[in-house]
Amino acid sequence: MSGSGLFRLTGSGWGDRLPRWSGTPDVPTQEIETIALEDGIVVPAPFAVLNAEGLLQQGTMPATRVEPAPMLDDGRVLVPLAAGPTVPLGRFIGESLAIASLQGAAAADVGFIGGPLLACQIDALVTLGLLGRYMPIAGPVRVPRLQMTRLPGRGSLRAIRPVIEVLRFGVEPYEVSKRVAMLASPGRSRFGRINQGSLHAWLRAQSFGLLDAWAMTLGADQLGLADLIAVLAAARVIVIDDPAQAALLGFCDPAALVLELGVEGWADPTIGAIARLFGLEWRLSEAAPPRYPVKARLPVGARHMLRTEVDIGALDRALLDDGVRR
Amino acid sequence: MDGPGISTGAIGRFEADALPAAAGFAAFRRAALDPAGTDCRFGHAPDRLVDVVPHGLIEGVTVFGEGMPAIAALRDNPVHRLAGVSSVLLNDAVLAPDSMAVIDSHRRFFGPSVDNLAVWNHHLPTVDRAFVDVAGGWSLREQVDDSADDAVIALPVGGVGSVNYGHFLYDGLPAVLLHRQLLGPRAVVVGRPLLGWQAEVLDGLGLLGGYRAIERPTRFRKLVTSTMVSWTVSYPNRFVRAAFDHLRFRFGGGSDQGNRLIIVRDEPGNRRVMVNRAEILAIAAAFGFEPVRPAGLSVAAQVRRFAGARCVIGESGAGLANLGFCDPGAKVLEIQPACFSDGWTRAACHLLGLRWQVFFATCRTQPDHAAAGAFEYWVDPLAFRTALARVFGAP
Repeated sequence: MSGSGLFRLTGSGWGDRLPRWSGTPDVPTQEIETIALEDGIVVPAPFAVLNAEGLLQQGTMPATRVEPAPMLDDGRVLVPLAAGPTVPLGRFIGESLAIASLQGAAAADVGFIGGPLLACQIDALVTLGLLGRYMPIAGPVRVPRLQMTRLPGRGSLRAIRPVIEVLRFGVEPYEVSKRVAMLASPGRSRFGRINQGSLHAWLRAQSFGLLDAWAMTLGADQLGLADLIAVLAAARVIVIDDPAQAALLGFCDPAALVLELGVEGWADPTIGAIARLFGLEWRLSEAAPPRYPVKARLPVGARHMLRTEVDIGALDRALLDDGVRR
Repeated sequence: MDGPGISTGAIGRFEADALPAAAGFAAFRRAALDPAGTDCRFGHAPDRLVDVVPHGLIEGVTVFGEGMPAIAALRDNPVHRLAGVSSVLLNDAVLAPDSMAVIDSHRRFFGPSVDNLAVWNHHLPTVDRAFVDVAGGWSLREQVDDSADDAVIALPVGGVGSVNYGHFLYDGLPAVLLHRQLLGPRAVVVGRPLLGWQAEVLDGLGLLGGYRAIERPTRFRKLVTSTMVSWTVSYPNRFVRAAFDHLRFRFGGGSDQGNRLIIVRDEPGNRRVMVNRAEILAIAAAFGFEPVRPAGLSVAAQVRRFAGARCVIGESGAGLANLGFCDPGAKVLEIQPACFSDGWTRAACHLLGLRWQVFFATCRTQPDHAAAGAFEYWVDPLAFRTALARVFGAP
């Protein structure tokens, strides 16, 4: 692996060489934490859990305060889950579904509460037999008995493997393309890309299918959850840039090659950790940091924190080095 | 020989791909739940060869000891077979509990249910009193019982050899656990009367409550099994993680005892004997490694000991099955006799996200095929000490 100029390709994943950033591809092993809250507040979107005093326990503090609707105390314990259209599928599976699976297995009478579900989220809960225990809410609700579970490592914990494996077991891989690019759409990424058009042209030239996990599409084809799992299970090379969708890599079969597009200084360990969890080969292509003062205020109307450039030559070399034998 | 595995003579055998494919798991599930649903299969994963040590075969970094031919062999063929996985639904199939052999309504063995016989002595009547030699093959000697409950979908836990710890964890459990989750409460685990540790494992997975122990060959209206019931311990695939991970969470976090373990394999009757074990254990102890004899511990205690371990040393063989409970990123040093080529630990570490290294030991005698492949080997103490310093560092 080598790099030149502004950009470089760093190989890692098995400890022979570490990327320049200080993070390691280790998987977090901290304990999972479950907290009981009385009269806690669940805000469906953006997802948040507050305690009775209104202090944030999980998620994002709401920008405006809305009086929560009360809920009758029927003695049932509810587990809050991040769900709905604002939650990436990877985060839903890697965090919400993992929590639901762990809690659901521990107690048959525990229920779940969160935002209105998308079709793919419904499919996942149906597969696990948990949909009947889910209570969708449209606005903030004060819940008499909440049981909140926190997973460290942004869902890159070993705890996500069981739920991924059971979803994967129910699907037969079908090969649409051995190469899949799972990139965040420009409107959803913190990082703009100077050469987005060139990157997409290169991906198409290299026969990558373009998978949009937000829109659940592969190219022009709409996917259901089973389709998405089947496509990823058959893929042997995956280009990915969005840590929020990293858990979806778990559907790939072992030894698939993961090429992560990162930005030096803004590296996120999630994708590397997921690759280690699932026996995938991981390479990180780091774009160099921008050569302008990033602490300056963003121009009015700016949609991204940074504008970066992918080193397509380095990706090309990575594919030649490792991709052709898959 | 009727296939890649065991000859079944007059009874015959069939493989999963002889059955019609279900159009998706939903169709497979419907067929299992519907009394009129016909025999079918569902393919979970294709057969695939993968490179499991793409970076790893570096002498002095990941490969240690004297074993040049073995290292060269590894380099020549660093691939692991991820064997294809299929489930089958059989109507009116018979399960023979002693061997866990499955026979379909056409009186044919489901091949994978008896293929593990190759690990033992290839002779079914030896491991299952229900079978007898007949001209050209084996036949059931006993009358078959009929299951009383037609609503049950029977999930046989493993195939031949399921009384072995490693085979039970790898060959038996994973598919049963996943089938139970996907098929729902009508699916119940069936098999021979359980050993104590088997009951503890099933209890840990929430599968003990509905367990149906059978003493004699029994016909089930619906039976679901998979190709994972044989050879998975030799050719592990991704689905083995499910059982380990569930048990890991069920039995809780790591032990507060040491996080460096050396697995001791000194039970009487072991076929592979380390001649300088005491010396090697002393060196390991100097690096903070505590000896552990898993067979003497409860399953829960084994899970906790290995969940808490970040560094593990062990000899090639079934004693390393517990690596599945280690958390990802743990370092493993496998002591492998150079004359005993065995790749399953390497493959399992790859699947489980563990960091695998190997120390090749010197064989003092060659495997004695008259004595089930028994031999003696020696671990170079100086090289071993160097390897520990390189792989694990000071305690």
